[in-house]
Amino acid sequence: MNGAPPSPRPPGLLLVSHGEHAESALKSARMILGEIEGAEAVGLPTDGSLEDLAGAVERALDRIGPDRPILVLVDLFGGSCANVAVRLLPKRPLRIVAGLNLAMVVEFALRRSYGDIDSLVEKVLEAGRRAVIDVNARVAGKVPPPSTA
Amino acid sequence: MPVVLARIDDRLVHGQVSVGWSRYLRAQRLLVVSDAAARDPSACALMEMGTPEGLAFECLPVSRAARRYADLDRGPDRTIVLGESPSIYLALAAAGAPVREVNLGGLHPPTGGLRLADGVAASPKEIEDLRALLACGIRIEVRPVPAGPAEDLEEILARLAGPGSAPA
Repeated sequence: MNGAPPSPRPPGLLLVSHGEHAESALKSARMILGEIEGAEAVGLPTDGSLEDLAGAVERALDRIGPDRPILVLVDLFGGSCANVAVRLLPKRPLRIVAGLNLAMVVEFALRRSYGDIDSLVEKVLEAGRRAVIDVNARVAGKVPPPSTA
Repeated sequence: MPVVLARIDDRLVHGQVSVGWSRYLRAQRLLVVSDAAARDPSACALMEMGTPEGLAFECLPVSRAARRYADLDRGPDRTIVLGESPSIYLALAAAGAPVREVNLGGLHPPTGGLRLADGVAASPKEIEDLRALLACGIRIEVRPVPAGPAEDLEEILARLAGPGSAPA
């Protein structure tokens, strides 16, 4: 449309993990929702150096684009992936969240076009916590117990 | 609000529905139409538990579902209807449910069947039922996930019938 201001791009997402967890989580989310634009995944291979990981993370951030906020979801706080992301903070305005699970990726994809990055991060944190469930306790009384032979 | 999605999915309530479609469409209610599930309280309970909070859930046998479908279509809730096979929608339409468009989202026939999309294949009987739905004027969109590729079933069937062949 002529003269209409370009709509701001929704936040991007970078998943970072030890091994293939990040890449697989993104694939799993796409299995549930379909394409997720502006989402990338980077894994630290067993024999990978932190320098290589930092380079791969920076390249992925560049692919997602400089013109939008980016949420970096890492697997473990205190792990190499989180550390590499934290070291980028002075250079880039990233939001970093640890504890990557599939519910968080899905929540991100469904929510990102509404509201600002801060409320999005809050929703992602909440979804990640809510997804951790003692299933036995939840289904107790609703599923027959195993029959003892 | 009318029924916002009437879906064929042999897995009924699973991630693509409970997380994907229901959130994407901001659904408020889920109606599962299944004789097998309606007979099995623990199957219903498990599906209900897999349904996100804030989404009303009900499971009905086919014989009682057409009336409910029509009521929900005139009701206040944005409703997703789930049936495990094309024949469910034939029965619903025949019994007067206002089925206008069907989403073909997941079919995994044990014998393999004719592949229509990722995660969607149909046995000869299912193809026959799908054609019968089309013949009733019901549009069928093959679209497993909300942000994934979508294709009209008639176009897929025409393509599979072979290059150059005219649609039936």
